[in-house]
Amino acid sequence: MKIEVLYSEVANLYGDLFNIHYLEKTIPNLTVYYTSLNDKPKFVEHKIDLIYMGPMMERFQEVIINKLKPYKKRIKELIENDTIFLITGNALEIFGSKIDDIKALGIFQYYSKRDFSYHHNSCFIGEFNDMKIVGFKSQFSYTYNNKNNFIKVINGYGMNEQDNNEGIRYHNFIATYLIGPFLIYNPPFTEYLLKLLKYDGNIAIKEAVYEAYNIRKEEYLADNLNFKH
Amino acid sequence: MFYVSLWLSKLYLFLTKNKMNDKAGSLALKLDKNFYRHIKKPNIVIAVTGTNGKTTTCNFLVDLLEKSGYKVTSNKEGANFLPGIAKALMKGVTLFNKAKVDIAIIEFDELGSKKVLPLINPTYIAVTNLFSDTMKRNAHTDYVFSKINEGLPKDSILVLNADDLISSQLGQNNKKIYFGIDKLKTDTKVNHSLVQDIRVCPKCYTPLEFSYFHYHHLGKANCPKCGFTNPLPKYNLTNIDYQNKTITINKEKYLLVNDSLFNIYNELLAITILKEIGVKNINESLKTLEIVKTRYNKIKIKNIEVISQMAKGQNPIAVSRALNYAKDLSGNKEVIIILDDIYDYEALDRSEVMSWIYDSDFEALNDPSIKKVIIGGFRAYDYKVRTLLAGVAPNKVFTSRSEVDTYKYLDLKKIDKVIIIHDIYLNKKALEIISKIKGELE
Ligand SMILES: [Zn+2]
Repeated sequence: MKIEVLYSEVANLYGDLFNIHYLEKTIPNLTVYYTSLNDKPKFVEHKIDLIYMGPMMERFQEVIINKLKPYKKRIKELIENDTIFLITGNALEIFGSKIDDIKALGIFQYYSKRDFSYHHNSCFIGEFNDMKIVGFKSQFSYTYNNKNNFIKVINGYGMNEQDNNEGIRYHNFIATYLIGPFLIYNPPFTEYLLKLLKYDGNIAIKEAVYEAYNIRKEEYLADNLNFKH
Repeated sequence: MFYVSLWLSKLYLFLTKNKMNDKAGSLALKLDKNFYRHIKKPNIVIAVTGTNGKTTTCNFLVDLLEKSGYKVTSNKEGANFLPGIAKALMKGVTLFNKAKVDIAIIEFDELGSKKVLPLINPTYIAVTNLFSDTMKRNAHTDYVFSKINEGLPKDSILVLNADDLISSQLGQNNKKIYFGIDKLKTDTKVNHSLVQDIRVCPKCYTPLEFSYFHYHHLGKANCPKCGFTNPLPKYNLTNIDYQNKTITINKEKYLLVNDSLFNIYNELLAITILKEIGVKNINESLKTLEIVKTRYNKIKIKNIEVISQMAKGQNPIAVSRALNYAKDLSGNKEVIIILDDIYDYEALDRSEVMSWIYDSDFEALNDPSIKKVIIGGFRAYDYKVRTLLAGVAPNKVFTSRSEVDTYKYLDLKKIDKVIIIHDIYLNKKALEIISKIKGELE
């Protein structure tokens, strides 16, 4: 099995690479390619099972858009052919139509707006395929006009102040603003992802991650908490 | 209104006997909106900020200057924002607004630069370093960098860390003095820490080539494409002699105050500033310099050394340094970790982002000399997952919802040292744990 991690030298802001380290602990004989800004992405010419990119400082979004622009057609084709993409944090904005006035890849029609005077932080709980999804947000931007919803919000913010849905799901393109090691926080989702990857082993340190997940889930489901502040 | 403001706030300070709060400063600002313009500032104002080490550096500066015979005011008994700084300045003048101190040492918050600096117009602005910090407040280094930059008065002289390719780029139009630590025996060719806040050239985005790392991104690098590199330090620390407890800066020897590199940077910065303002006999004052006990404390109970090390929770660099410090101590050890954000957990609109533990070097705990890792607090289960993923054997990891009860898991017969790594606000709990250990041993 092959995973490609895009531009981790700049797109790993909040411990997000542990999404990949966790998959490495889980799946034996996993090959992970770390593609740097000056490299040609592996997915252009090779079959990759999962393509990952995490959050970054805003100035790097434009740099990465320019790096990926030549491969827009290829990315579209991979998405339509059900290649798995896992895109976390503001990396998802790169695949939309624009970020403020910056023209993005335009693979999806959604667009994003930044506001550096307001740094958004919140906890999150939502639902996807009967699974509770928990996580955290920390961002300067919101995204609008997304048509391909991923997680239904139970408590917290969606893609923007009004949206009751979080993230993007189109074929196997999965993206979310939830930062950090999303896969470690959400063992049921990780097991779902493993099925998509056609891997049938157990997740690493299953008992401990489920224990932490269950405690967080119960905590975040409490009626008196309000993550939308 | 200024004198009413000055006198009443001085009276308030006198009556309340200089409590550790900023009410006198708030009062002064309320009574005179232009208090900062009216108050007489001392001849030298030194403002200090940065992600890590600003408080310790300020404490060093105040102590060293006072020991050298200077009269000093500072905001070390208050907060690092407008009221705390107003209080410091107010303490530095007579009832008739004449400066009665030579120097003000002002710690200021990185995000407060634009509000604070133009009001106090510092002679020197020192920045210890810039790293990933509490993400809730500080987002990322680009954000903090731009926040500091937007407040720098053009005449202030910047004192910057040459080993930090981020903060050393501050203040394009200011005069700058750099301090730095040369290549050390303990340096590494590759970075073993998770966080490295700069990996590509800020000018051309080419991956930087590091010739060595002190820790995280502090070290020496250059860009193979455009030649971007570290500035040259005017104050260059070339040797640390741990045996004889000395450091060498520009060929002069100074006493070593604390043997963690983290604190050596603070000492180097303090010495840099003292040299710049012409202080003599620095070693005489260094002899009796200590780190505040709530930040670091070491006591011997029977045969066991108990060390408490404060580390700002949610600050991956501070926590990584503390974890590595625990690893590097000699002997067999057990480590207690209590780092929860107790205030956030009590809030119904809580927003504690726990991902910072995945930016912190828990891998340091995966060392044969560390016999147990005991984690206390309501987020203990998150830390447990993190510790297991660092490769620590499951039978060495223990959790307890109560911070103090962590002591119950210690195996005091088998070890030489206990290290308690605690958050700023959990100092009391750390003291309770120490007294429980005392109870067990005595
Ligand atoms: Zn360059």
